[in-house]
Amino acid sequence: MHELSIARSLLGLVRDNVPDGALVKSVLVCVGPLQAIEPDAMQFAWHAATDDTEFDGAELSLTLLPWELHCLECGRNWSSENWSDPCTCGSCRVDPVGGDELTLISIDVDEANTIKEPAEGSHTVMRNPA
Amino acid sequence: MTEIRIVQNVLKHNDEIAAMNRQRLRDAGVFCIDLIGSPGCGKTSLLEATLRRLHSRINIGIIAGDLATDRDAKRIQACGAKVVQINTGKGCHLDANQVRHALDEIDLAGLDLLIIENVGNLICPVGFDLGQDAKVGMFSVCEGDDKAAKHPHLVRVADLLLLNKTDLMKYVRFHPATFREDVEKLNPGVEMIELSATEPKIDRWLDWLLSKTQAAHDLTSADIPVPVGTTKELSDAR
Repeated sequence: MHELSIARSLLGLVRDNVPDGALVKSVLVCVGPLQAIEPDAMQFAWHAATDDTEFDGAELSLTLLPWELHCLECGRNWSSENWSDPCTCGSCRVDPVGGDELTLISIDVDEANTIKEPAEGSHTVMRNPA
Repeated sequence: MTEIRIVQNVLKHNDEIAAMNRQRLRDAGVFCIDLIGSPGCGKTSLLEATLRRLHSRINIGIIAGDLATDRDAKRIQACGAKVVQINTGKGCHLDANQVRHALDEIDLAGLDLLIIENVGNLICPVGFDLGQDAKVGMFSVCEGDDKAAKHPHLVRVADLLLLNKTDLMKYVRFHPATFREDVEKLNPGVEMIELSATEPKIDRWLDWLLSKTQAAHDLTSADIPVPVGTTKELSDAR
C-alpha cells in the first residue's frame, strides 16, 4: 500500500504548483511498471489524501506505461505489458529498459472558478514579485 | 480551463532528502545498504550472523524498520551493533525522512557500515530512495523459485541479490536454474549470492560487504570535491 505515501507526495507537489484559490479539476500522472502501482488502490489513496482539503474532488488521471523492452540479440525495441516476452527474432535475451517513471505531467485548473478569494494584496505580490 | 505543465517526479521531496542522507553518509565514509526482502526470508538472522563475524573488524550500525515491536532491534543489539528501531505503524516501507531522523541518533563518524533493514515487503519499499549506496534484494528458497519473476521491480533495481536458506533446498520445490534465469532476464549481470544465514554459510556476502565498505572509506579519504550546493542543503535540512 505504498500508494498512500505516493498520493500524499503528489498532493504536496500539486499544492506547490497551483496558484492560491485555483480550482483543480484534474491531475495527470504517468506511472512506469517498476512502480508496482495498482490503479484502484491509487485512486482510493488519492481520494483519502485529498478528502477535506482544497483539492477534494480533483480527478486523478493515471497513464500506465508499458514495459519498454530491448532485444540484446537483434537490437529491436518494443513495448509490452509483459516483461518476459521473447523477441520476434526468437531470442529470450531481452532487457527491460527504464520503467521507473512516476511523473506529475500536468494539472488542469478551472480559472473561471476559485475555491476561495485569496487574501487582498496577495495577487499583486504574486504577479509583481519585484 | 488552464493546463499547468509540471513534469516532476512525484517523489521529488523524498528523493531530495535521500540525496542529503547520501551526502551525510558519504562525508562520513560510511557504506550504506538498503536490505529488502519478504517477511521471514531471514533478514534479521543474516544480520545477526553478519554482526557476529564482522563486529570485531568494522563498526556496523543498523536501522531496523518494522510495523511493530522492537524484537529485531533487541536481537541485533545482542550481537553488539548500534541499532535504531523505526516502527512504521501501518506504513509498509521506510522513506528517506524516517531514515534522516534515524541518522540523527547515530554517531556516523564512528561507523564504517550502515545496514537499513527495511520493512518485510517485496513491493512497497522498492521505489523509495533512502540515500543508500546499494539496494540489496533478499529471497529465500522456501518462498519458491517464481518469486523473482513475480517481483520484477525489486530484481530490476537491486545492486545485489541474496538467496537464503539454501540448506533447505532439498526439502522444498525450488529450481535454482529457473530462479537464476528470471533474474538474468530482469537484471542482466547482477551479482547473486546464495547463502544460509543460520548455518552460517555467508562468506561471499561478508567479502562483498567488506570490499564495498573499504571502497567507500577509500573514496572519502581521497578527498573527493563535494558538488556545489550539497553542503548548504545539508545544513539547511538539519
